[in-house]
Amino acid sequence: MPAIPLAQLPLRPSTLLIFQKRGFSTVKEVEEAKANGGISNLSEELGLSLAQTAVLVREIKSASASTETQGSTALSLLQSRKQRSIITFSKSVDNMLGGGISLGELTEVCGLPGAGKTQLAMQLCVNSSIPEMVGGVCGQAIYIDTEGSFSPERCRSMAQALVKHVQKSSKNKKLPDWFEFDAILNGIHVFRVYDEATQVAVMHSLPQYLEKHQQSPRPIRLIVLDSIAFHYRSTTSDYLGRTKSLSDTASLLSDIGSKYNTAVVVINHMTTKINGGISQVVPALGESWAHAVTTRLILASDEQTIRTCRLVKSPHKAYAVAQCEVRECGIRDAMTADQQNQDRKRQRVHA
Amino acid sequence: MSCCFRRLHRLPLSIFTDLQYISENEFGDAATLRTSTCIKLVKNQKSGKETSESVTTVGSFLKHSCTNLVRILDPLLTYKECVELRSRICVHCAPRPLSSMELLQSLQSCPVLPTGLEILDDCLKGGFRIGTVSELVGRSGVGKTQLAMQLAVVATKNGFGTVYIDTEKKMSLERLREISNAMRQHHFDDANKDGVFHSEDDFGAQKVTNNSYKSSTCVLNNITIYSPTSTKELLSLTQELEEEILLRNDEANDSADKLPVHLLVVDSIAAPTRRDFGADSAPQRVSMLIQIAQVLKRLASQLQLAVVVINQVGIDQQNGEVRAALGISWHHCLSTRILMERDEKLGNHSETTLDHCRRTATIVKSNVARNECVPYEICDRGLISGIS
Repeated sequence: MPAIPLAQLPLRPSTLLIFQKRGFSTVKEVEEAKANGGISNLSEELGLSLAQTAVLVREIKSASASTETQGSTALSLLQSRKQRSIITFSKSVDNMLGGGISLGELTEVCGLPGAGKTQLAMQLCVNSSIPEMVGGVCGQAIYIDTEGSFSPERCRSMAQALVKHVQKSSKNKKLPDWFEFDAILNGIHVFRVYDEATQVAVMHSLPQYLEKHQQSPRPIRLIVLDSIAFHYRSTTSDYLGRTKSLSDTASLLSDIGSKYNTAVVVINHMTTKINGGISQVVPALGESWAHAVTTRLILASDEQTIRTCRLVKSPHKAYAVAQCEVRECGIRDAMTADQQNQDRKRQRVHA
Repeated sequence: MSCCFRRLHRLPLSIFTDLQYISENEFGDAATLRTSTCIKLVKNQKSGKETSESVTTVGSFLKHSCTNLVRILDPLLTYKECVELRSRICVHCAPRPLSSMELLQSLQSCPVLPTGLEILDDCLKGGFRIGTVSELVGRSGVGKTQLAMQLAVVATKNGFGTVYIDTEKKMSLERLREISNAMRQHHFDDANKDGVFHSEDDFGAQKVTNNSYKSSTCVLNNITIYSPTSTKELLSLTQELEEEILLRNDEANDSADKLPVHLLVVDSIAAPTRRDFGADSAPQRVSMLIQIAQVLKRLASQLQLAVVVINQVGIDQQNGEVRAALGISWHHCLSTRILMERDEKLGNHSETTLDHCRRTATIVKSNVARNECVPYEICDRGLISGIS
C-alpha cells in the first residue's frame, strides 16, 4: 500500500483535522493502526467512539478508491478497443476522418451560420441507428438542443432516405425487424435546454441516462450538443467562470465518451477576432476550449448546396479537405459536373 | 425548463434521503439534512476564510466543483456523497427528453405560419415555423415592415393573434387597416369570381367570410403594440411578454373575438442595438443580443410562437459590400433568414406597382428550405408574387 498522504485525498476538512491532530499523516499509518488492534485501537488513538471511527475509516476507504487509477499497456488498449465509427454518408468526408465520427472521442464541428452543422448532426443521429450487419453501430442518439435548431421534419426525411438506401444495398442480408423509420425516430432523444445552468444539469444527468440504456439491444452511441457556445456567450464579465465551466463540460463529455464507448459531437459557433487591423473568423469560446477537443472540423458553404469540410485537428489523420452536399435526403457526396449531367439525364428518362 | 433560479431549500426531500450512506451523521432525517445543507451553502464559508457569494439557487450550486462543496458543507457530507448529491439534483432538474417522433407529432398539429406571399410560402414549405426565430433583412424601403404587417393580418386569418414590438415607431395603423380590408376584399372577389363559392357548405358568402379573413377591427383588436426605446427596455419587455401572452391566450378561450397569440414581431432589432452599442463595445453587444435571443427562443418554444425579427443592413468596412447588421453571432441565433432586395436598374412595369424596380426575396439561411430567390411586388394588399 503506497503511503498516500491524507491531505491529498478528498476528505472533509473536519476529518482531516481529526487525524492530523493525533499524528496520522498517511493512509498507511491508518491502515497499520487498524490492522494491529482493530477499529477499537484506532478509536482509542483518535479519542472517538467505535461508531464514529468506523465512519471515518469508511470515508478514507471510499476517498482512496476514487483516486486509484489502474494503468494498462498501450498494446492491451489497442487490442481491446474496437475502433468503430458513425458514417456521415459522404464518402469523401468519411475517408478524410478515417471511417467517420469515431466512438469514444470528442469531435467538434464549427462553421459559419448556414454552413450545415445542424444538418450534419441530424444526419449522424439518424446514421447511429444503422444495424451492425451493414457496418453501423446500431445505437440510439441523444440530441441536446440549446438553440431550438432541431427539425423533426428533416430527421424524418433523412430517416426515410436511410431506410430506403439500406434496404437497397443489402438485398441478400436480412435486416433486423426493428429497422423501420419509426424506430429510428424514436431512438433520437431530444433535450431542450434554455440556459447555462440547465445545460450543466443535463451534462451531469447523462451518466445515469446512459446507464439506463446500456443494456438494451440499442445502447446510446451518439451524443450531440448543439450548440455548446450559445448560452456561454451571453455573459461578458465572468470569463474565468466560463473557462472553468467549459473545461468541466469538456472533461465530463470525454469521460462519458470513453466510458460508454459513445461518440460525442459538439457544435460551436464562429466569431470575428481582430488581430492587429485584420479581422479573422475563428471558432468561438477561445483557446482553452480549443485544447479540450480531440477532433475539430470546420464546415463552410461554397455554392448553393456544396459544403467544404476541413479537418483541422485530429490525432489520427492529417489535415485534409473534403466536400459534401446537403440534399433533401440528407448529407451526401458532392456530385462532380459529369455526375450532375448524368443525374439530370437519368431524371429526364425516368420522368 | 430552466433550473437556474430554483431554490435549493425547495428541492424535494427524496434528494436528501439516504444520502449519508458513508458518514451516517447524527443530524438525522432528510429534512434536517436539507435545512443544514442550505444554511451552510448560504453562509458559504470555506474552512474559516471570508464568506464568498451565498449559494441559494441551483444555478449557483452547479458553479461549484465537488471539492469546493466538501469544504463548504463540512462536516455534513463526504466527497462521494457530494458527488451523489450533485448528480441527484441534476437528474431532478434536467428537462425530460422527447423522442423526435413525439416532436414530429406535436409539430403536425400547428406547424407553420404562412406569410401571405404564396411564392415564398411554397419555397419555405408552408411559411415560418412555430417555435423558431426568423429574420427579414434588407435595405430601407424594401418592404420589411410591409411584410411584417401582412404577417399580422394573415395570422388573424388563420386564427392567431400577434404581439408587435415596434422600436422605430414605423408601424402605421392606417396601412394595417388598408392591408386587412384589401386582402379581405380580394379573397371575397376571388371566391365569387366564377360564381362558385369555394367553401364547404352551400351557404356561400357567410362561410367564406366566417372562417377566412377577419374584419380590420378584429385584426387590430388582436395585435398588441409595444414601443421600447433601448435594448435594456427591449430585453425586459421580452421577459414580461410571457405573462401577457398567457393572459391573452386565456381570454381567447372565453371570447370568440380574441385569438390566441402565435406570432411575435420585433421591428427592428438593429435600431436600438446600433443606438446603444458602438464599435468599441462589440463584446457587450454580442452578449446583449444573445440574451435577447435566449429569451426569444424560449418564448417561441414554450408558448408556441413564430418569432419574426427585422434587421437592417450595413456596409462592410473592408470590401464595401452590403451585408446584414449585427454580425455573425446574431446570425447564428436565427433559424431562417430572408434577404429582401430592390434592384432599381432592372425596372419592370406592371399594373400593380408604380415604382419601377425589381424586388426579390432570397432565402439565405433555412433549416428546411433550399436557397431560392423569388420576385415580389408591393400593392394595396401587401406583398404579392411578382413577375420574374
